[in-house]
Amino acid sequence: MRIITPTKALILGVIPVLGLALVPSSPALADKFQTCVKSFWPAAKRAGVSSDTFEKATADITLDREVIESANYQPEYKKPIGEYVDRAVSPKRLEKGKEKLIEYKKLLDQLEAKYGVDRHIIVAIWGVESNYGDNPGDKNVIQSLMTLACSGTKAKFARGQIVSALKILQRGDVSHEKMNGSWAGAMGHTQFIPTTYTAYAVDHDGDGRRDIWGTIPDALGSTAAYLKVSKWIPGQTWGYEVKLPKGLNPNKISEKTYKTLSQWEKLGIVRVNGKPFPRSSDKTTLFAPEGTNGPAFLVLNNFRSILRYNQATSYALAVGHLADRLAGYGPFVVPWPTGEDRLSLEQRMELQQRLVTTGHLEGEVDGIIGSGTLEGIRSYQRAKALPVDGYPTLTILKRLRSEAPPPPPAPPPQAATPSPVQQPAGAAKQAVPVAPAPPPPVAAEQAVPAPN
Amino acid sequence: MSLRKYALFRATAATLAVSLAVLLLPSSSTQAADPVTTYKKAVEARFEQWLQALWPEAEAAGISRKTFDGQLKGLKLDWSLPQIVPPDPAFLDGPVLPDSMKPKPRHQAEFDVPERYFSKSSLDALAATGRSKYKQLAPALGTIQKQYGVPASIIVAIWGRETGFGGAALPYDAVSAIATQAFMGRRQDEFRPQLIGALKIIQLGHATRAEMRSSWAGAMGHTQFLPGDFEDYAVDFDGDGRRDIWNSVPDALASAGNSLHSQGWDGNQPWAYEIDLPKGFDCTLQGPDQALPIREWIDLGVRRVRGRPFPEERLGDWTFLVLPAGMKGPAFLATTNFTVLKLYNNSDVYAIFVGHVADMIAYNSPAEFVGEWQTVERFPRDRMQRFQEVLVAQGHDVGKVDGLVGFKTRQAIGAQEKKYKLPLTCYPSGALVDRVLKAADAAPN
Repeated sequence: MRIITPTKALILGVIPVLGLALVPSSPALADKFQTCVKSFWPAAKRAGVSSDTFEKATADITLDREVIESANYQPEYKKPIGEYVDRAVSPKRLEKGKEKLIEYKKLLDQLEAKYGVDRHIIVAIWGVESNYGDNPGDKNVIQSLMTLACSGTKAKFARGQIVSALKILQRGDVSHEKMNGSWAGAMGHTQFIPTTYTAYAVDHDGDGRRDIWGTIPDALGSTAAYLKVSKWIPGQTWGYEVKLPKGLNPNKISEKTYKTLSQWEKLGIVRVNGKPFPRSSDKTTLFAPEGTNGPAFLVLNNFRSILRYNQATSYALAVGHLADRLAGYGPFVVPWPTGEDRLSLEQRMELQQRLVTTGHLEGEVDGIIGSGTLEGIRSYQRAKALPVDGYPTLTILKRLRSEAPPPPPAPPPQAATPSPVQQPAGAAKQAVPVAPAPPPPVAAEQAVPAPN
Repeated sequence: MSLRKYALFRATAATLAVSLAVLLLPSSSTQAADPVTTYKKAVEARFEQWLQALWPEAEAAGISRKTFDGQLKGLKLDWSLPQIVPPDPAFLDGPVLPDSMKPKPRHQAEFDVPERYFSKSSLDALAATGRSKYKQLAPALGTIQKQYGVPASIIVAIWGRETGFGGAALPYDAVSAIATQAFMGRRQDEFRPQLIGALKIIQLGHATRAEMRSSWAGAMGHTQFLPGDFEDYAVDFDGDGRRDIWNSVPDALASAGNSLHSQGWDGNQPWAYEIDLPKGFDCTLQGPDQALPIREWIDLGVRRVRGRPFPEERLGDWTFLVLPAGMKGPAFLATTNFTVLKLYNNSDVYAIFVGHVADMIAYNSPAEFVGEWQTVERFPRDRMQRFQEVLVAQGHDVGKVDGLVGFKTRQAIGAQEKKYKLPLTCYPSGALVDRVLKAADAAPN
């Protein structure tokens, strides 16, 4: 029941249907694709790509419909940031990351010394990007990029990547057969797109090739090198979880308001663990993705360096938090908000358990809402003649509770390794607030600091 | 070559370095020989060694020892070529480059100011001869156009632009020109494979050394093919068994057609559309890295000149904005064919020139563009280079720092104009260059 990436979801669900519905590509369509592919030759030639390389890279590629479907995929369920972070920092990923820290200790020592980037961040990025290399993507990068460039979906992005991708082949860093990646051309352990690769990948093991696909020293070295040029400050953390004083409405503070930690302290913001901030002159901004209803953070420059890797703040928070957890720190002190469309981890697991018990779902109860869970909800909604939207809400959970006996307190047999955060259903039940989450308190406006 | 002579030659090559030292040392220490002669002699000796070292590469390419020695033995550097960077010193601890030989900046006509490059007289002259050739060679051109999907007018325009329809004298021996460029040219790496390619042409008997006359950059025949182009794209159109781009006009023109076709010419698109930009348009949107489908340009207010619509079925084509003179000249939306033309000569104005002359030939278009090439200031190349260096130091991407005003430099100028809140032109002006250089000089190091 882990989240299913759009591509995989399509392989499982949509593609067979399409295969039946569509006649094979007409010759004219294929011809148009080939003409479009060919149109990249002049730019490639000027960038030093030989006609041999170009021919080899483009000879057998065809328009890849899975790529187009993935690019057009609109998630029916937009995960709240808390759920995203829970999923990115799953117990399994944490456990595996700790193993990697031991396994690659020597390499990480070298990288810390050479690039000044904290080892836990390097491993956390590895974990979030490709699950430590387990999900590097298996699509031919040239075919994916040509498909996007020639079909109009994310074409502008792809057009900017193609020459860089061909140059990688020209230099011989990787063979055409091995240059695989995600549908969007994010490649290897580090999930670099070709332009990022060209600019920042390094050959750490010194074999003359920058191999982020098969060589872990190159992959992790490239991540560290990229963070370094993204102005990672050695010895600094990415941010602190903080407690906001009553009356301070974080929504009224621009995320571009920089203050030193001591200035924030004067406004009553303190660390959740009660300890003082180290280096109180560090400049930070306030990051409170759920306002006053969830964890809030003061983030430093290094948070912005992580954002260079992927500009979603939820991503940067997940990486930073996974790194902290790998370094032995605990989970967030303030819980993520719950409410009608924001179920807590325990509630999500309870929802899955109840769907399993009622026969609408099969698989592991892990609290991760993937396409399987969504389909399970739809199945239940259909069975009960409810509006079928597949959305995991408190209403659905309550309805399940009212109809079925509480699930057994023991972990279900399907779950091979119960996740450590899983609680007995009874406990989870108690934690469920019956009323929706309280609305954000009306801020006492005078409490909001005037920007200096 | 007899076996004995061959062995002798090998011995000579092997002891070259030694004999060289013996030869040179006394002359440079005992008598004050002419420094230019001394220097050239030293470099020539290095050149000879360098040529010999090419053998494995040549052998791998299928060139016989006979051809190799026959063409390269005793080959002299051509010191008269442009774009060469003589080594300084000639070799480690060797004679230094005499001051009198230090290169002076030159520029190719392609980078002249657009206003002069597109003078009505040069356009008219080329189009007039082009029209008569177009008629005269109509049967062959028709077949070529059909076979390769490239308009005959484009091929004729290239022919005219490259060699004045075969009339231009090609003053250099291709082998020595290419060897010199590969040994000490600005773009050595690009020419090295071309030298092997030139030997291959001789080896395979496509042309004799005497026929292989070329431009300073080794471009040969009516349509100015480099040896690599010859190998990849030259065709035997007249059916005499030879791919003769030197003496057979049909072979040369068909080869040009084949080259454009093979490199992605799309017969359904023009080379570019001349366009009108709306007032206050952001000229930093130019350049191939910012291509958009035509319909998105229309959304940005771009219109074709003379009120003509874009073809309905072409609205999805990706095109990019070309402003060779910034906002001080005509504007174009360039198609994929424009980038194919630039493979002939990597210059925006070259591609526009050829495309426009082709239109003048095919459609009797007027010599004038709808936009006007305004008078723009000219800059010494070294000053422009200094200006680019400062822009780079400020974090701009100007492409190659070469003193030439390419699209990235024009983008960077536009960005700088925005910063100074000046009217957007995306073309260098004396005032802007002065201001940027002054600010840089005033800044503490």
